[in-house]
Amino acid sequence: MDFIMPVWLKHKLLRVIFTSTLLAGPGFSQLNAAEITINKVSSEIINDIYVVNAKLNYELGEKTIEALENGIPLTFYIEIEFLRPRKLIWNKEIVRHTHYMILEHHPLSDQYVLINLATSDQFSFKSLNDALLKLGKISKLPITEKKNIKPGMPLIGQIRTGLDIEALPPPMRLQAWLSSEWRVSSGWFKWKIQS
Amino acid sequence: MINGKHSLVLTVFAFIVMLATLAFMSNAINDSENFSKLYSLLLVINTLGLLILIYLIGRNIKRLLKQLKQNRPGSRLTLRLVTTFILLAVIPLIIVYWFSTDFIRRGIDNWFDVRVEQALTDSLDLSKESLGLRVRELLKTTENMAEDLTESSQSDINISAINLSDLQGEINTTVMNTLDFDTSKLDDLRVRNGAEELAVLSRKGKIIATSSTQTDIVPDIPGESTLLQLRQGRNYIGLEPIRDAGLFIRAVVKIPNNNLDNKTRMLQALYPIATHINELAENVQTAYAKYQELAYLKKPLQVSSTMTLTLVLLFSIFSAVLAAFHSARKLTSPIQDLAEGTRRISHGDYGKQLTVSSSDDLGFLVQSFNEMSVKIAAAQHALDSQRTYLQAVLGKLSSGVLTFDTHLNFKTANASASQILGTDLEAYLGQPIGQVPEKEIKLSTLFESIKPNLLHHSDDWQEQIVLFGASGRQVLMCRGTALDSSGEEGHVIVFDDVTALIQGQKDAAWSEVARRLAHEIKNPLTPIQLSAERLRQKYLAKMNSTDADTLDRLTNTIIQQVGTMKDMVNTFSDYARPSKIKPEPLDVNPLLEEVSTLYQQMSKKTDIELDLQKNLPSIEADHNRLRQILNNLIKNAIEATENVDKPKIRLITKTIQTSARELIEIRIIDNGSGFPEDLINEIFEPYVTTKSSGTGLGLAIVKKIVEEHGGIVLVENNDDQGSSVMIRLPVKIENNNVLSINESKKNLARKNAL
Repeated sequence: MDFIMPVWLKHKLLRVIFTSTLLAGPGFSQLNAAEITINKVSSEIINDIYVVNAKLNYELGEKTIEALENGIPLTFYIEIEFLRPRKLIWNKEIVRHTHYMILEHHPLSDQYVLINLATSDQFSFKSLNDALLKLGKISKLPITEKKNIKPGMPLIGQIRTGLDIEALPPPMRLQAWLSSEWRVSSGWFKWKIQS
Repeated sequence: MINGKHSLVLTVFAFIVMLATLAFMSNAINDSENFSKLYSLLLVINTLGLLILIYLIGRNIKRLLKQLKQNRPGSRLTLRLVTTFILLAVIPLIIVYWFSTDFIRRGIDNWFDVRVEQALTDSLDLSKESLGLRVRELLKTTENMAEDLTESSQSDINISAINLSDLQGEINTTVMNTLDFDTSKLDDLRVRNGAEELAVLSRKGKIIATSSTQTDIVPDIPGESTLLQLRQGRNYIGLEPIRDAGLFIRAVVKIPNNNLDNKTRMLQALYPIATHINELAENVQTAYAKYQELAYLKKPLQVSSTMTLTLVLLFSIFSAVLAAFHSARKLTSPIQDLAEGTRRISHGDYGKQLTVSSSDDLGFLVQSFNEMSVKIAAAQHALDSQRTYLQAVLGKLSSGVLTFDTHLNFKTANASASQILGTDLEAYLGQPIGQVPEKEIKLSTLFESIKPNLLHHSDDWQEQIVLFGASGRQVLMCRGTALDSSGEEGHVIVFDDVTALIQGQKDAAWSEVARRLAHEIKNPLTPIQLSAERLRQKYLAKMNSTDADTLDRLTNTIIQQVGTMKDMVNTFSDYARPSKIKPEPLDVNPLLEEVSTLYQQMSKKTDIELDLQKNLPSIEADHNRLRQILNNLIKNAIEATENVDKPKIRLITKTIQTSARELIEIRIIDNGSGFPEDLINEIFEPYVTTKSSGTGLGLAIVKKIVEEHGGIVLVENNDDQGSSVMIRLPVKIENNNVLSINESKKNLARKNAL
C-alpha cells in the first residue's frame, strides 16, 4: 500500500522508532487496521465531458472513528489523473483533479454528515456505514472537457484516495503522520480510458 | 568549507528563520487559519533549523578542541568562558522550561471541568428531549398523512413512478421530481401539517412524488439503513442537519397498502424547527462539539505544545551556545592576537601592528602593544643600521678583525681577515677557538697563539705572530682587547699582515748598507790600485829577481783583489741604486728562446726544454733587465744541476688570469739539489746563498727587478727533485696602446702645425 508520508519517514527503522517511542500517545496505537481499497473504476464521456465512476471501499480504524465521534472532522481526498503513457520515461500528466469530501459527526442529531467540498452538498446519515457507502460511491464525477484531450490520444487514468492528514487539527498532525492507522491511502489504481 | 563570516551569516539566518517559524507554529497550534495549513512544513523547517544549529555548534566544539589540543593561546580561556556562558544561559532556560511545561499541562487540564462537561452534556440531552416531544408528535402527524394518502389513492390518485436517476450527476443518486399525477393532495397535506417537504418514495428509495416549499430543490432521500428499517416495518423519525438551513426533522413512514398495485411505498416528510429553537439547539450542538473536540485533542495538544516549547528551548539553548562561542571568541580574539604578536616579535618580526577593535581595557592593551612594537622596530632598525655601518667599516678596513665571545667561540670576522689568512672564515663562525681543523694551519696557529692572551689578558695586548703556510712565511701583528673590563662581553682582535712591511724594511736597510759600502769602499780602492801599479812599475825593474818576483806576486794580488772588490762594490751599487727601467712592449717567448739557446751552447750536457705558450701576450718590460734576470736564474739552475746525472731544465710560459688582471708566468724548473728548507723564505735577501762563490746578491737583484716591473717572484722546491722559480709579470694593458696611438696622433698633428 502506498502511504502518503514524508520521504524521510519511509525508512522503516525511523518509522518504527518514531511510532513506538517518541509520539505513540493514546489514540494512535494500531488496534484495527484501517484500509481503503478501490474496487472498480470506469470513465465515460457524457455531454462532451469526461466523467469517472468508481466504487471505493473505506474502512476506518477504531481510533479514527473515535476521533470522528469526538468532533474531529475527517477530510478524504480523491485524486484522479489522466496520463499519456510513454515507453522510456514516466507518463505525461494530462489532467489532474483532486476531490475533497468531509465526514463529520453531528452529536445533537447523532447523524454522520458528509459534505462535498466542491459543491457544498451535504448528506446526513444515521449510520457511519451509510456515510462511508455514500463516500465510496462516485458517480459521474466530471474531470475535464473532451476538447482538452487530443482525439485518439492513448490515455490511462489513475485514482487514489485517502485521509488528508494535513486537514486534521495541527496538534494531531505529527502523531497522525507517524501512525499507520491515520496514514491510510488506497494507493494508485489504474484503468484504461477510452478516448 | 564554511568560513567564519559565512558561519555567522548562516547562524543569523537560521536564528531568524527559526524564530519566525516557531512563532508561526505557536499560532498554528492555537488553530489559527493562517498557519495551521503550514504546521507540518513549519515543523520540518524548525527541525532542519535545529540540525543546522547543531552542525554549527559541532563545528565550534571541534575547532575549540583542536585549539586546546594545539595549546593555542586563549583556547582555555575560551573554554572557560563558553562553559560559564552556557551554564548561565541553560540553567535558567531549563528551569523556565520545566515550569512552562507544567503550566501548559495544568493549563490544558484546567480547560476541562467535569461540571462544564456535565452541563454541556445535559444541555445536549435537554435539547434532544425538547425536540423529542416535537419529533414524536410529527411522527404521528406523518403517519396520519400516510393514511390520508392511502385513502386518496383508492379514489383518484394514479401514481406512476419515473426513475429519473440518470438525470442526476456526481455522487448524488437522488431523482428529480417529475410527476404525472395531481400533486394537490400532497401539497394540501404539506400545507395543512406544516411540513417543509413531502415525498412519496418507492420501496427502494426512488422518489415517486414530491411536494416542497422550494420547487427547484431535489429532496434528500433517506439512507440505506433507514430504508432497511422501513422495510422491516419500523417507521423512522429523526433530527437531521440540512445545509444552510439548520435542523430539520425527517420522518419516513410506510404508506399503508391500498391493494391497488400491491407495492410498498413510503412517505417522507421534512419538518422545520422553529427558528429560535433551531438557533438555541445549534448553539448547544456547536458548544458541545467544540468541547468534545477540545477534550479529545487534550493529549495531542499537550504533546504538541510541549514539543513546540521543547523546540523553543532547544532553539534558545543552541542559540545561547552559539552566542557563547561567538562572545568567547570575541573576547579572546585580542588575547590571541596579542599572543601571536608577541610570538612574532620573539621570532624577530618587529613592528607587528594589531587591529584595535574595541576601546575597552583589551583595546588599551592592544594599543600599548602596538606602541611597544613600533618602538622595538625603530630600535631594531637603528641597531641594524649601526651594524650595517660597522660591517661596512670593518669590510673596508685593511686590517683583519676577529671577535670571540666570553666562551671563546669565534663570532665574527671581516673580509680582510679571510683575505690575510687565505681562507673563508665564515665557515668557522660559532666554533670554539680550539676546534679549527688542522688543515687550516694558519688559522689554527693564529688561534693557538692568541688563546693565552684571551684567557689571561683583559687589558690590551699586542703580539707578533709568525705563520707558515703554503705561500710561505707570514708575519702578523696582532692587537687584542676585551670588549669590557671584565672580559664578559668577549674579545676583539685586530691584526695586520706585516710581512711585506718587514721585508720592505729589510730591503731598505740592505739598500742603505749597499749604498754606504759603495760610497765608503769604492773611493779608496782606486788609489790603492794605482799605488800598487806604481809600486810595481817603479820598483820592479830595479829589484833582483827574487824580490822582483815577490813584488810582482804581491802587487798582482793587490790589484786583483782591488778589482774583485770593485766588482763587488759595483754589484752593491747596482742593487742599491734605483733602476732606470725603460719599459717597452716585449714578447717573452723569443727572449727565452734566445737565452736558452745561449746557455744550451755553453752547457751541452744540460737538457734545456722549452714549453712556451703560443700567442703569449706581450708585456711592458725593460728588455735588458729581463734578460739579466733570466740569465741569472738559468745560470743558477745550471749550477744547481752540475752534480746530477741527467741535468734538465724546463722553461715554461703561460697566461694566468686573476680577478684583478691578466699575468704571464715564467717558470724555471730544474732537477738539481733544490733549496734548503730553512732558507727558502729568506732566499731573496742579500747574502743568503747556497753557493760557496758569488756575491750573494743574485736572487736579491732578481727580486728587485721583478718587483720594479710590478711582478712577483717565488721559489719552491719540487715534490720529487729540484726547485722551481716562478715569475709573474702583468700583461701590457691595451689602454696603454690606445694612449700611445693618441699620443702619436697628437705629435703628428703638432708637427704638421709647425
